[in-house]
Amino acid sequence: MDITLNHYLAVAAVLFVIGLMGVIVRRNLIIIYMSLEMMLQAANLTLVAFSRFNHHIDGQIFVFFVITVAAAEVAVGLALIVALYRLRQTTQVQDLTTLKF
Amino acid sequence: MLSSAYVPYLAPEMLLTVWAMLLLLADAFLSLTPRAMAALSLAGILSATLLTLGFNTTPLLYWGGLCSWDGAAKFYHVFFLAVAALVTWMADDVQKPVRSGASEFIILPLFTTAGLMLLSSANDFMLLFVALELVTISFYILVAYQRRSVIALEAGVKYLILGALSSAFLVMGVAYIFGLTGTTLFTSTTPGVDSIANHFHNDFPVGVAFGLLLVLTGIGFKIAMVPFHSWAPDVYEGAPNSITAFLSVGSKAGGLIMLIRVVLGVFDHSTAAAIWIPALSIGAILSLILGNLAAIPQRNLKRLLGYSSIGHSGFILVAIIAASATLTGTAYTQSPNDLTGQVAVAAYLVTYLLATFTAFIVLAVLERRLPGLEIHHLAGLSQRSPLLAAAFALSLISMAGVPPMSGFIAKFYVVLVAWNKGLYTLLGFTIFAAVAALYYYLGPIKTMYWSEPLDEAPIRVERTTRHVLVILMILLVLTGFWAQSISILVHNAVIGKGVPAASAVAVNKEPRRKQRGIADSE
Repeated sequence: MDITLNHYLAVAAVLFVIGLMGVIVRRNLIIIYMSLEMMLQAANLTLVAFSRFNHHIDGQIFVFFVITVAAAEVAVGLALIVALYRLRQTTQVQDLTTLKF
Repeated sequence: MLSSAYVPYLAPEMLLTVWAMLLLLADAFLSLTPRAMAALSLAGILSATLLTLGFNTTPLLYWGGLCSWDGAAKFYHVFFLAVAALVTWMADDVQKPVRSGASEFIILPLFTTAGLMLLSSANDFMLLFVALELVTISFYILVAYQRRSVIALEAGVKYLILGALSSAFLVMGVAYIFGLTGTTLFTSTTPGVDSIANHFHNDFPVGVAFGLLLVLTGIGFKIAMVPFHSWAPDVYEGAPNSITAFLSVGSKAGGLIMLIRVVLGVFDHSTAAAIWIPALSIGAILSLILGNLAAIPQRNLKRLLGYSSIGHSGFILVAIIAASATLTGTAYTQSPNDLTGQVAVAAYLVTYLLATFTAFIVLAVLERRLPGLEIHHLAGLSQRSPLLAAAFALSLISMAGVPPMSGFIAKFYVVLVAWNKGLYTLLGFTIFAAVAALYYYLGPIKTMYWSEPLDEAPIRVERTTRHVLVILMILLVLTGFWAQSISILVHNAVIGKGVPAASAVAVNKEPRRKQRGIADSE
């Protein structure tokens, strides 16, 4: 069986949905953050697949930007989560209840 | 393609980023006070503003088509620089830096502003994404800057998770649009260079529709459009006041200009509009209803303004929908281009800027003097500090859209463009929301003026703060009274000069204009 563009897109879509489910269902901030990264990687996979199969190089360039930006986001994000842990001794979402209606 | 003549248009952004990096270095090696840092930062903003004002507004693409320059880009550049100046001044003068030696709090907004300015001239999804992330990542830090405070950190983490989620949606959407067009450029004037706008005039593949909806989701998070609004009240409450105002005006305006560039610049033809107009209409209606109704039971002032900002997003979305060229209707200014919706957006944002900053400067002053920022803490404020009470009341009245304040003009514009385009359902919800909004905006005013103060001690306001507040109040009232001239100013700035029909009636007073607007649509 040939691996076609659609196979890559399907894998990317599955990754994206798993990531989204992780963000919605999981309660631990670190796991949520991992799921978010997974969603970004799913988008990257889509970009690379389109780029490779349609012979447009722009998509692969875009992926480098996304990776770089994601790295910056992780640096800031993990710093925030660590700061929160120091203060509250927890990374569980259900404990973040100070700001409530 | 990369002609040297195209470099100047990027100069304001370059200046801001380089200046911000130099300031960060200076902060590390010299011991500058936050006051000096703020002065240097303001000097950078001022130079960037002067540079921007020097450019003419002839539309062109530069940097190989990555960026576009036109009246709207110039307008939003100056808009964001004005926001940055107010934020920097507030950070230093009104609320004092979070602790001494914390100059990043003053420097980081420069990066954010550079990102917002890039956003307003982006003509490529790649640049749009990078600029957006520059804005978002610096906001993560700014929101959670008081890292000894649980509230600030919670707000920061919430903003982080939902911001990252929105980026993921955006990239996925862009990936699909790229996949089916083979390009990320919005428009192109160079022969032989493909752009998204060249595609799909006849058919609109389901993949692109999917991509467009994902992109709209990503942008929806940024402008706090319902159902992607859940972060807004929490983050508004937890962030320092200057940053809340920055988020509420800068970040929202950035998201809206992004939306304008994408849906009006690229996808404004009938096949695509059949996707995004219903999607945005639902978002607008939900934002109008939920934003304004959920604000009613709020007791915390910052949360109240957070919900009200969701409602304001709804109003502006109505104007963006009305700006679509696919809807037929008489244009109010009879301009050659059907862009009055865009003028309404710009005018709305200007009045929103004035009202929001007035409100948050007052809150920043009060935060250090009152036990909390609940509505009942405002009791008798008019006796303790008439200026603060008057400023807060004026900004709330303006946000509520009571004539003759500038907020009324903004809402009136939205109603007018929606009416002209025959968007009667949206119009109904807009008016309903405007009436509902009156209720919760008047609550704090009642407390300030007709409740007995808990504490008689007068609240002293520093001189600079007093002057800025008075200037903002004067602008709030003036822009309401001289709406016609202001609207022409905004129109010329956003669309360009040469609209004789609008200029000829510059001296007309408000009621005349109202009649004419209705007469036009009949």
